[in-house]
This record gives sequence, structure tokens and C-alpha cells, in this order.
Amino acid sequence: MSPNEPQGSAMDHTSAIETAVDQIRDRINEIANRFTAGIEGINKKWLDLPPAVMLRVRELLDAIRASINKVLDIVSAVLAHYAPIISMIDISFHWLHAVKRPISNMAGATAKWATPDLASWEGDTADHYKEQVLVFQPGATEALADQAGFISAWLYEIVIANVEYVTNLASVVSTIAGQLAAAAIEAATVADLPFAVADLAAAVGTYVESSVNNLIGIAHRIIVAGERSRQIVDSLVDERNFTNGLWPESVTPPQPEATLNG
Amino acid sequence: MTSVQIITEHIREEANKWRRLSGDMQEVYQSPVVDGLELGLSSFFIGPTEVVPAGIHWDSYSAFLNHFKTLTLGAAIEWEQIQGALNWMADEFDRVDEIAVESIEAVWTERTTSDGTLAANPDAPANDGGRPAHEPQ
Repeated sequence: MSPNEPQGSAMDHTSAIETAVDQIRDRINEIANRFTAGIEGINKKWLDLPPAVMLRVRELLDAIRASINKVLDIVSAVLAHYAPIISMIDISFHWLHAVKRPISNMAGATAKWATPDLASWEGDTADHYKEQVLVFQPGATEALADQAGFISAWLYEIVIANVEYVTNLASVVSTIAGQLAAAAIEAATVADLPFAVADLAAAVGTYVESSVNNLIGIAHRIIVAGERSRQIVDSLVDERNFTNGLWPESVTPPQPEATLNG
Repeated sequence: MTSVQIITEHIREEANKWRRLSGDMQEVYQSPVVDGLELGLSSFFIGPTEVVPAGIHWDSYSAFLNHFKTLTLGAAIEWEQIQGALNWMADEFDRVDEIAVESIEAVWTERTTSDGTLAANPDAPANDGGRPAHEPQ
């Protein structure tokens, strides 16, 4: 039993991603609308602002746009990539429910006599059957079920990091939309405008920088899982149960000469 | 009913167990192992591809999946062959009163243990997926 096997249902995780993606779409539109409204508001006051102040306001607006664009780059990648992640979530659960579970059930069945009466079967062939077939086949089957659990847990760790990444991104986008709403540049008086824009540029700039770093931190867990994956593949080359990566043979199909000599 | 007949009945039941298990394993092999577990390069990270180069994930996963396909198919074939060997043995018990123990033993592959490791029988013929021959003469 792997401790990090998928928890809950695939649906719980796919709906978490879909909810975050919907939220990102809504808030990105809100950001674009508010930014445009802010620029239009400033343009109306254009003639009332001294040229040096206007120049500074433009620089600050460019800085805000650049910060928002850093987030938009991530957002456009996420909107393009979230569908394959949904299939990965399903697959991490398939490994558990459609592979590990049935194979684990088979492992129990391989070791059990079809009829208890055969347990009294004796002789060399019976000994061989009991000591070889009924030992190695169940052992290999159990090991196979464990491997399915292992890969499921590895994928699930990556699923969790992806869900966290996109949920985090949704909250970043919402916070930026909130910052734009709170600054209300379009409503600022001519006297307040340069300060409102400067405050917004500072707030958005600082927030975006720390948020992007935080997202990189979450993505780093997926990079680390990748580095570990070579080790995982090596550890699965299980010579004890699967010599040369093959299923253990307990039987050699009867050859015609077998009985000729017998 | 002689005791030999009773034993052959039980052996046939045991053979049916392996036939059923082989069928179950074949089902898992066909779906989802073969047709439901493939992942693409873009399946591993939801964000910008340059942040997480997923080649290593994809390589490892694909190698693992291939290894798993080999094992599940190998199990299905082996279990079908165990079924064949048990039924063949039951046929032999039924066919002759004097059981040719050596010929029956020749069917079973020895896996020996040495310092805790197990080795497959080097003399065993390759698994070709075929059913065991049932007409030894």
C-alpha cells in the first residue's frame, strides 16, 4: 500500500481545476476592462496634466501593464494546457481503481486452491506446484499490484501540484482585479491621479513578483518529481520478482518428446 | 470413482481457476493498460512549458508503462499455460493408469533460489503466447 495514493475522486480534482480556470477567465476579463477604463479616464484628463507628470504617469502605466503581462503569459499557457491535465488526473485514478485493485484481488485468488480437496494432492509434481507455482505466481502478482499503486501515487503527487498551481493562479488573478478596482484610477481627480497610479504600480508590481515566485515554487515540486522518476523506473526493475523484466515462468508447455522419454 | 479420477477432477477445477485469472488479466491488459493509460508530453504541467521541462517525466512514464504492458501480458500468457499444463496432466492421469511422473514433471519450470535471488529456468522455451501442446506422444 503506497501512502500517497490518490485520495477522494478524480472528479473532485478535475472540478477544482475547472472552477479555477473559469475564475481565471472571468477575472482576466475584469482586469482588461478595468485597465482600459483607467487609461480612458487618464486620457480625458490629458490636457489638464503637466507634460512631465503625464510622462511619469505613462511610465507607471507601462510598468503596470508589464506586471500584468507576466501573469497573462502564465494564464494563456494554463488556458491552453488544462485539458491534458484533466486526463492525467483520470489516469492517476485508473492506475489505482482499474489496475491495482483488480490485480491485487487476483493475487489473492492465485494463491487459493480452486477446491480445498486438492490440498491433499501429494507427490513430486504436487510439491512442485505448491512450492513453485503457488509461491512465485502470487508473489509476482502482488508485486505487480504494488507497482501500479506506486505509479499512481507518483502521478497523484504531480496532480496535486498542478491543482495547487492553478488554484493559486486563480487567486493571484482575483487579487490583481481587486487591486485595479480599489485604485479606481478612472475616478481619480487630476490632483490625485499621479499618486493613485504610482500606488497601483507599486502594489501590483510587488504582488506580481512574489506571486510569480510562489508559482515557480509549486512548479518546482513537479520538476523534482521528474528528477525522482528515473529512480522510480530503476527501482521498478524488480529482479527479485521479474528476472530481466519478465513475468516468472512456472510452466514449460509440454513438448512431444516429454512423454516419449517418460 | 477411483481416487485418480477424483484427483483429475480437482486438477481440472484448479486449471479453470487459472483460465479465469488469465482472462481477468487479459481484460486489465487490454483496458486500461494498453488503451487507457497513455500520457502526452503536455500532460504533466498545466503552466508554461519552459517552467517545467516534462521530457524526463514523459520518458520515465512511457518506459514504466511499456514494462507494465510486458508484465501483464506475460502473466496472462503464463496463467493460460499453467491452465494448459494442469489440464494436460489431468488428461495424462485419465489416459494411463501408470503415471509417467518424469514426463509430468518436465512440464513444470524450476525456479531456483541462491543467496535470496531467484532465477528463471534458462532452459525454458520463450513464451510465444501459444497454448501448450496437448497431444504429447
